[in-house]
Amino acid sequence: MSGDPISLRRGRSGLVIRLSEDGDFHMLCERLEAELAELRPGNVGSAVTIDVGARLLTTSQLLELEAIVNRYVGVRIVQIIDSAGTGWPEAAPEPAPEPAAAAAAAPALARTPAPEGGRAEIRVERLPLRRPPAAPLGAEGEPAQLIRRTVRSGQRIVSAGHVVVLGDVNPGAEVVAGGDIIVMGCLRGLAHAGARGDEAAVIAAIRLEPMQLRIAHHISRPPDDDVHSAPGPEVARVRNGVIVIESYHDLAAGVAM
Amino acid sequence: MGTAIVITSGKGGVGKTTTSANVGSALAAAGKSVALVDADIGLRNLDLVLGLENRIVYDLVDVVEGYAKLRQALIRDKRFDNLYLLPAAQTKDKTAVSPDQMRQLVTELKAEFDFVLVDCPAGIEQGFKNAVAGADQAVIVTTPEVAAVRDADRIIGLLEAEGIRDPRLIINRLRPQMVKRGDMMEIEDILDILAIGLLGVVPEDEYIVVSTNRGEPAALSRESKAGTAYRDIARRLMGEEVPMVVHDAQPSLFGRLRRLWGGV
Repeated sequence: MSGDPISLRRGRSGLVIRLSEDGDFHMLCERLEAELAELRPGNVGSAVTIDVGARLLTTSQLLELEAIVNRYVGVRIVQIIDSAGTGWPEAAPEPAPEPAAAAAAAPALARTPAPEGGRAEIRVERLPLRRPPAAPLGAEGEPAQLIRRTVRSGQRIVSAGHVVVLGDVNPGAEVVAGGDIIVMGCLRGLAHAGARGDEAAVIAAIRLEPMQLRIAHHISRPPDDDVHSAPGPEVARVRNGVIVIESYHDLAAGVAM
Repeated sequence: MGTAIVITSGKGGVGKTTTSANVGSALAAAGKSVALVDADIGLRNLDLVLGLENRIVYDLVDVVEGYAKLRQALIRDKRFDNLYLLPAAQTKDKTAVSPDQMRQLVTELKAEFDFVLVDCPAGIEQGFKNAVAGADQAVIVTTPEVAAVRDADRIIGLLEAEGIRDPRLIINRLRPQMVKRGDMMEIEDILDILAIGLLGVVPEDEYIVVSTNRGEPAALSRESKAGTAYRDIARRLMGEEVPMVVHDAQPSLFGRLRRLWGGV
């Protein structure tokens, strides 16, 4: 492949950006940025679909693409698809889960990020993580890494197993674990549990006020107008394809298990 | 042997230099011998705030490079005989000095002074690494803003990595009236995130602008609320127990009435 790292066309439902299979990711980002800058005047309100084709993307690369698209006023990602479809067992795209359904599944849940509504909302229907879900690394009985301090802004903890933090995780800090993440304090930063694809991983904290939560390939963030913080410990997990937050006490009492 | 304290923040413009000048002056006024080191090479300011800029002959880089003796570069304050400034070079940059050289310099100063206060530049790069080299303790300055608190948090983590434990916090430019209205971060919110000891709270005070421009530290003024806060901080650094009071820059109703009546 010698040509463009990206191709851009106008589809029925908005712009479709197709990424080439190979080539430097950095160059691709620059090119995307240039294309979007040129498009900008006539395309306020455009819905953007990113077709990653057969390209392998990491979660952070995906976020970078999201960030670039978000920089352009009025343009928003509605969908990320991989047309090559090699890594996806499902034939049809999964419908975006209804927030109501998710709420019904978890009665105690107060803060399910609504996938529709504000312009800035991103509905990622299928994420192009091609890595097959590996055998869950952080199963019960697996070793955990114990962090006996507060994880501060700019610090990053990465562990293949579970991570237990005896302290806070501050804004700007990141904890990435192959298994579960337990914070015996306030989680205000970013936590990524099941980072190798384990959807059964959970994130628990005495106070859960995260910047962003990631479990396997699912990403969620609190709604922009969310100032409410539930008192007491909470647990985040994946239910019906979305990350939901539940009170730990309800879980422990067996209500929502 | 004295104590070397680095005054740092991560974010710029939160009042590191003002804090250095005022705490240094307050310590000197209390009879301690103090060396102020301006580690912000290339952007020197501390001499201005102290009103000493026209006395600079040699600077920190001259000492490190061997062009001048430490004694020659130290400038004696015009108000206190026991307060000295080691000015930064203005025509060089941060790479002109290495952490090892700074460590040696600070060690030399500690032998002569009770307190060595190092005014750290903003940022987390070479300038920061130079400034913290040789410091025994750290004082972190923040303002009640999320960006400043975030950077302070980053700095605390970096200080831990440098082996400087238990830094203490100064919350600068607090406006008690705004906090009361819920428009400004509260002291408790900041301490909740940073989880370090509080050394002092300095209220927003217009007098700081005046004193900085004149080169007369506010800590020497009995009128200035910020000055009072800086004197409290100096006493805490000397090991005294001083109750944590937020000196409100806004005069009380009684105070205003008294002024109307032409009172004291």
